[in-house]
Amino acid sequence: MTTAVDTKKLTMVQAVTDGMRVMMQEQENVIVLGEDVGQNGGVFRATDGLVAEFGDKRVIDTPLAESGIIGTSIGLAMNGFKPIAEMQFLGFIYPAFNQIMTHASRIRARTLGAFTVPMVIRAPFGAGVRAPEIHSDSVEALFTQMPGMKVVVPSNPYDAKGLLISAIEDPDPVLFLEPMRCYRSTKMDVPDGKYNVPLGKAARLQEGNDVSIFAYGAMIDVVTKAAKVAEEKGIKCDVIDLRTLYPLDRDMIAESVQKTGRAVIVHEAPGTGGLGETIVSLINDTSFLYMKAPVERVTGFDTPVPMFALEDHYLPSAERVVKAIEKAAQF
Amino acid sequence: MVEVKLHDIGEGMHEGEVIHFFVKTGDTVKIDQPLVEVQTDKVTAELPSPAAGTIKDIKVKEGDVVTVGSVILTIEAVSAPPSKSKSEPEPAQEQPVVDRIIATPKNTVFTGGISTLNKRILAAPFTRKIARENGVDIEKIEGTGPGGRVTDQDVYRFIENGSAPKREETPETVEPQITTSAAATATASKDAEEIPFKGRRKQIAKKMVQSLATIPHVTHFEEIDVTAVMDLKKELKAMDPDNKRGMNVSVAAFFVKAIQIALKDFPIFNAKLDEEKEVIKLEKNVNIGIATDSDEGLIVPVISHVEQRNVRDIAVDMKDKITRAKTNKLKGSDMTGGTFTISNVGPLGSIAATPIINHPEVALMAFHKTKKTPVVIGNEIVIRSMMNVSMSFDHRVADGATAVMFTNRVKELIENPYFMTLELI
Amino acid sequence: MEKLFPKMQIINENGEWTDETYRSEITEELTKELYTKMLRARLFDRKGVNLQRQGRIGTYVPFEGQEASQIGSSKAMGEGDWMFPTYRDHAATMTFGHSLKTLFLYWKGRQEGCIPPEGKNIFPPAVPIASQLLHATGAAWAEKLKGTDRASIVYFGDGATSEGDFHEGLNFASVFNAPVVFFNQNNGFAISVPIEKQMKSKTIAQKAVAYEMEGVRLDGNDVFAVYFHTRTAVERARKGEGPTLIEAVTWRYGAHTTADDPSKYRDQNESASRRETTDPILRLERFMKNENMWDEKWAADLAESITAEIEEAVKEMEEMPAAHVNDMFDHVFAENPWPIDSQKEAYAQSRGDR
Repeated sequence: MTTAVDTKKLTMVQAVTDGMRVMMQEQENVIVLGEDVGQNGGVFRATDGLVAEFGDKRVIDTPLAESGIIGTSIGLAMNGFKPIAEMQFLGFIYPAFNQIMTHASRIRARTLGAFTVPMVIRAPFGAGVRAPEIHSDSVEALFTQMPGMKVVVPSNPYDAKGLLISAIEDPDPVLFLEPMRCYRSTKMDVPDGKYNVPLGKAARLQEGNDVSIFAYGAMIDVVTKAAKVAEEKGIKCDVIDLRTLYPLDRDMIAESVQKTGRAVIVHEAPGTGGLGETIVSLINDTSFLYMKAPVERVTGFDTPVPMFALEDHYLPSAERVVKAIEKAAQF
Repeated sequence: MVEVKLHDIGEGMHEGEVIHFFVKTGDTVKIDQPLVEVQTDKVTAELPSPAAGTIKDIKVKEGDVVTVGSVILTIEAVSAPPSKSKSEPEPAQEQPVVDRIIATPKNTVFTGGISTLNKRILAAPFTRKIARENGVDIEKIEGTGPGGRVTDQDVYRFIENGSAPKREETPETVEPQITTSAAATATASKDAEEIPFKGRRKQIAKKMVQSLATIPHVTHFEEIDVTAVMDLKKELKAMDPDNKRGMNVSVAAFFVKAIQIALKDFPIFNAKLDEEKEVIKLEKNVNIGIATDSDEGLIVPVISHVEQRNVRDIAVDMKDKITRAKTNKLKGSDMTGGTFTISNVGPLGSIAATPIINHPEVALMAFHKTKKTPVVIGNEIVIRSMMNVSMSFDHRVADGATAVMFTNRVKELIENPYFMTLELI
Repeated sequence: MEKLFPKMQIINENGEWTDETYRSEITEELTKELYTKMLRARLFDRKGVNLQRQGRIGTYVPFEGQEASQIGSSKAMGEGDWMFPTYRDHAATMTFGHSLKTLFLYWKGRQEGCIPPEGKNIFPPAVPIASQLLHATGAAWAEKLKGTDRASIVYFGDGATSEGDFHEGLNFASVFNAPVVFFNQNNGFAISVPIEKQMKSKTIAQKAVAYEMEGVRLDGNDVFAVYFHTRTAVERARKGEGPTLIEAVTWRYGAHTTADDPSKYRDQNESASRRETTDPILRLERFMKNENMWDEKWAADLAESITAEIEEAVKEMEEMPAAHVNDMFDHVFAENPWPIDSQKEAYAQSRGDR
């Protein structure tokens, strides 16, 4: 059943705005709060136009205090609202870590469901846009290991809107990470109105039988390029965009790697303790006997994200990914 | 009787010193009345009475250091607290959870430790899986991959060379173990059911292609009157209906014996062609492979040293191996060393075939359906049990005339089973 | 500053009137109600310490000495209001609606101890210091956005004022004019650290000035002062006049927790002498005697019936069926994601269950 739906060519940041707008139109209790989200429309313009449409009672410029934003959002969320709290950058979330770790993520568990915190924390993240220090951190793994949190990372405008809508509708706290590199890198047909991209489901971007590639966010662009180069060399990659980092799409990861027997995982967060290690364990748990080669990981280094003079060295490149694909294929 | 114990009163304390008793034996105490003062590393605390009653027995002295869990004194309770039955704290019901966590790691993986292994075979999990599913001991395979790693090809080669048993391999086991509907739909199209082409099926295919590609096959047909051998079988059975003396032998056992006797006269069909060395190797032993159909495809158990064995022996061995072939219980040694193969497809039907030789052997004979047929003997039409055979041979090694003569010899032996008695050793 | 923020009082340590503003409202009925609630809290608290010493519950956090602060303030709150306690505020939460059994369950390490009765907005105790100020602000802000007249009260200690979340909470409440009562119990110690080491400010109430909000300093052991001044703050909040910071100066007699020994950092004689002088219950008893409200038999019967109630709660706590391990797994999310389900299943199998 298909009904004709109008689409618009949108960038990811516009798609994010549209997702919030759609849900604010639908649900009175959805509110947006954060630093500069009102009149300014957010430092990335992700909330552009929302205050004009919904007023300053629903699109709220808060004091400059991340813990305050998350802490009050918790109070709002368990008292009937669905706050979408914006962290200006993921690298600025640390003052709020206590609130997220000790309260937002575990109030449901503490009270056996008597209190819940349905909220979305949006945060731009990742390197590659020549941002100042601290602005480029990719610390999603701090949150994937946080019981009670879901972590979502879109890589394109369509997914961004659909995933954000699902995140807003989710009954539990969701950390919604927006790769800055993707904010305006491409435009895509995005349907008007409401649609969902389900949480916990990865997407297969390219079908191949030789090597599985698992990536997310800004790394999708990198691995897509790498897969193209690999294909010219005769290696067909199964490219999977994970989209949700907790819970991971176990079935698609296992299915892909059981088909190929080889995997390359790419993320820009540091290698140690990163999602890559979680995926390696998942492959180990589900697909050990199918493996023909050790799983390759191409990740950021165990260093702070450098100032941008060196960030291209820090970030996984298509070249590094191609080498990893070849290594896996030729093992 | 209520026991007053020292509990862990300071988050992780193990012992405490008894500083002072507020009560002595025989004293009457109320609920929550202080009994004793105890000092631990973290706190000095009064322990209150959990029950009302009389102090019965003080088990320790002031100055004693007591460990957590030990009884300090007992009270003859007159009116126990409302929770009398539970005055023993730490409800036992909550304990097992912890006990079991501690007890779980009993089945750790590496019980033997790495030192017990003679050598470590290097192989990827997938390669090991192929070996395991084919009943191949991977430790016997020489690795040709990087660093001496055993590759998938090494395993396949090992299996092909006949030195590997062919064991359990089901299409199901190569399906993804994760139950995933997505996985299922990904491998199935709408109009056809797809069966994975791998495992034994793929090995059979490889062997067949290899055989047909290297051997110029010729097949010729013959028909054999098996009435006499069937009568003989019936007579033997009648004499030993419960098979106490092992006289209940199959007709096929006579076929095997007949082949072996014929091979003695035509050793060229009990041979292997080594093209590299440019020699035809005549095998001394007659090891006859029995092509057997099983649920997972063709499998060939071998009856070895037929030249040294009597018909009864052959019958017993055949029966055993065919049964095990059908139940996937053959060992590697049960399937190696064949020098000639027979294919007894008769029970399934068929009147003729062009069988593919079990490379690198030289010949294969298929036995077809037996059927009562009017036959002219002398000038009379009689009903006889007739069976066709198809004899494929390697035309590089032997010529048609030899094959016909060989087949005639087999025919003669089967039609006149008592001829075989002449061959008794 | 102490002059700008005088310690408000209605009756002094001898139970004598020092401020008769609320005289007409201080009836025998109200007095007896407050006395009953304070005695109930105190006997509960002592039972808590004893149960811990007997090994029947885990670490317990005593509040003895702070009954007037907690009961006077919680009595000022109404149906539908929100309460955000710390782990030392069970006198407040039992007054506002928690059952004694639930409170004991909390200290017995049971998750059920976090669940408020139906319709009572009592948050589970905040363990991280000062984090709850923001929740109270958020919940109050939500009520404001919904257009109700409900308010939040949040409890915290003197040490909490050093945390960033204290300041963020006050600031957010101030900026958004949220109907919150920030109820500080200044008992003089953050575990072992005395207030002089915590802050140079002479009062906590004065910190309200920075946030352009009302600051009130109270004799936290005068239950009437606490009740009426908190009530005023709540009324202001309901009317949309914004948040209030209340500093109730009080004292805890006992340890920080049952795993703590206060004799290591303070003179225990002070607590002993305070029991004779500033004790909130003794003060009310003196007041009642002065006002001819006291009845020995009433008091004795009251103690007896409260003891029976507490023993019954202990019994209910101890008779609860054992905690089910599934409670650990099944409430992390609305629906278990696969990692939790597979861990749950693997653990069940390792125990030989099912």
